[in-house]
Amino acid sequence: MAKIKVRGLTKSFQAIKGETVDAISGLSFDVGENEFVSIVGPSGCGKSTLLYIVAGFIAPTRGDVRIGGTPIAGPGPDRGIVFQEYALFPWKTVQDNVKYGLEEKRLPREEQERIVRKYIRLMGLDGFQHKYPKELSGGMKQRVALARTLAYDPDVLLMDEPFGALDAQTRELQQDQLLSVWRERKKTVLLVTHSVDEAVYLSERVLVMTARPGRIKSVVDIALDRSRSREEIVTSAEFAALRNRVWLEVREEVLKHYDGVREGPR
Amino acid sequence: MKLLGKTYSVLLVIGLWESAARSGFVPFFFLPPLSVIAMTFATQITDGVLVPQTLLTLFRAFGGFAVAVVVGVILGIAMARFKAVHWFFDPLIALGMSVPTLTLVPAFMLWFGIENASKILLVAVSCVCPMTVSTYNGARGVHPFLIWSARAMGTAERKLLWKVIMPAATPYIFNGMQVALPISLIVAFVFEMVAGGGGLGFLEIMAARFFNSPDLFAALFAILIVGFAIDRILRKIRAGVLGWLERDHGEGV
Amino acid sequence: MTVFVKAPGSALRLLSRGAPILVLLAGWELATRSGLISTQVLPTFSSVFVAAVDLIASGTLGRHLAVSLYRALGGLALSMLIGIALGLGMATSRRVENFFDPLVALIYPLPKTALVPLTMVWLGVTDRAAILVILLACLLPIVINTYHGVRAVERTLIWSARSLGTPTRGLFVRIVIPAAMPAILNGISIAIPLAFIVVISVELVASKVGVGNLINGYGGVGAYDYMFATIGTFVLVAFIADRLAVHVRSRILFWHEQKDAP
Repeated sequence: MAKIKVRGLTKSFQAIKGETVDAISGLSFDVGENEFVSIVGPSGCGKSTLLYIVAGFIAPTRGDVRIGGTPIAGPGPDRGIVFQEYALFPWKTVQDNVKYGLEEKRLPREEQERIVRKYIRLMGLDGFQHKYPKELSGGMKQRVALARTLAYDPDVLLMDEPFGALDAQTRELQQDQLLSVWRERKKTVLLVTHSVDEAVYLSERVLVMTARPGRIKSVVDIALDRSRSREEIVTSAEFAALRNRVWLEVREEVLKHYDGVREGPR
Repeated sequence: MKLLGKTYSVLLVIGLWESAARSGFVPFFFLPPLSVIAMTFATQITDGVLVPQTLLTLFRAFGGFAVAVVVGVILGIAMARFKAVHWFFDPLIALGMSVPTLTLVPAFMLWFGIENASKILLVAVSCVCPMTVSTYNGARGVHPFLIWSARAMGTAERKLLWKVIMPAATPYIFNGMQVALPISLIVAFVFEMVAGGGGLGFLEIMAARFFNSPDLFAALFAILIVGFAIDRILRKIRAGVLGWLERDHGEGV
Repeated sequence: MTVFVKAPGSALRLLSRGAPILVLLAGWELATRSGLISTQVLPTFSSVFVAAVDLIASGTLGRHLAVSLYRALGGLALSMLIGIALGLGMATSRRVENFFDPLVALIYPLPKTALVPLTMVWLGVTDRAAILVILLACLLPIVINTYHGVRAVERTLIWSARSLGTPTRGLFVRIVIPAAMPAILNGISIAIPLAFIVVISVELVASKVGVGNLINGYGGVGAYDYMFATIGTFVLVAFIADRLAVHVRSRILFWHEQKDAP
């Protein structure tokens, strides 16, 4: 059974002049248990909005989201979120950030410390436990954000352009780390990204969204042999083919958006 | 109807005031009815009392303010451009910012008398520090890229000042003005309350000494209106002059 | 701008920063002693210094300073209590905001020292009257900064906390208040020097005791050296208070990432 089931999702907003604008409209897709799925699309297509609805921060205007068969009602322990801006609590140390969700769960002290230690080590944050977010680089902050969410052990991991604020090299390192964590921890991942390369590299399936109002335009299965090294994968012919395929789909939508703009205000 | 929803608290206060004042529970000198105050206000204008006094206060406040702006901007830019000037004046300015200049009212009364000049001077002294600091921050914060590109395009050093530094520093200068203008009014008022010599502050304190509440409130409302008008005008000017800046650059240069 | 330099190696820096002031003081002493500026107008720095010592030793300054500080800090404390509560309330509840917003907007352009004659009529020439004016003067910066601080809390922080299991009730204390703390403390930092300024204004106009009154008194009888001594020591106290506040603030906000802003 699909872990995440989205049916007919629509979200409307009131535009400045009062007319209703659909950010997303009639959007439907599934994500299987422990599947890694990415969503790509042109700017403004509503992919972040979609993610926030699945996370439970925003209520949809119409439509249905079910996790493991149960409809969602607001944010919950079953869905963890990682934001592009990391959203770390700046007044807490790395350790206390990671511990946050466990405190809310009211686990016994030793249990909390044990779990925190585990994820600090997993994300390579040893030695930084007592640092504050302002002392960390972007890549480290990203790792803390992930550690914090994983420590809470949600079934589903929702990620909104998690690597968007990182430089190219750090971004690649973080991507690989995410993959290894995913393999080890077995989680369902829904990741939103601008980068087609990233989507193809990381996921088993890529959902391409249309321009606004957003719908699922196409689904591309990514069948790559991931036992190889990063260089091998990225330079392989299959990767290039898949990447181009997805890119062309996205490009079509991006150009639509541009064409609309080029026509100018009416 | 929407306006009502937004301002009902004010109307409530007005209503409470009027009814409390008229009920007899509250002594007259404590809180005269708004209607009486309004009458007094109108009478004072027609009697030719309120307007000249208001103008007098404004003359003193704006006079000092203008001096402070000129001196402050010049000094601020000089401090930003010449290290020696900065070295000399920075501690003095820091000191000036910490000193409540109102403590100098008796000193100024001693040195410069209690006439307009004395008041204008104290206003100027009080406002010059914030103006200098904000101008300095504005002139200093000009992005080196802006200056380098201007130089590369052949802008002479002197023109650099006008073409690049001044426009970049303008939002900071405006911030300084928004801080300094209320200061100018406050200093003018307090000086008038202590030293006399006409003006709204003087009117108010004299009314208080004679327990003449309607006159007191009338002067107070005049001050409120002045403050309000100045705030609005400054905002409009800011939007007009800086509108291009905030539209273009968003968060500021 | 002014930096409290603590490391001994920077004593030279401190000297360099203090040099212009020392030059000024030296110039003052010279000008007045030599007769360039009549001591009728400006007493010598040394005589002011002597007067200051006398004021402190005799306890006169202490007494009046205590009154002024009581009023300033009392008004400040009350304004913090009311102001933070009001700011929090306005930021979290539409109804509270709609109620107080027009009132705040109305009071905002009024220089609060203009209320001194009014409080004089209401409460006489008392501590309570002074505290009331100070309270009102300090209230607005605290309310406004608190309000904006809370509103500016990034929603991603709140959302993250909710995803991590924080119930809606707990969000306020666990997330909103710490995140808004820099802004709240900023409001308080603005209010502190304001309290000192306002207390002097009140005491110059309507008080029988206190530093402002003392300054006025000395000025009136021509004891200018005592007048300047009083002004000088008060300014020093206000300066120390401000520096102390800055220090406390940076201790509380050690975690805060400073972002440059005009």
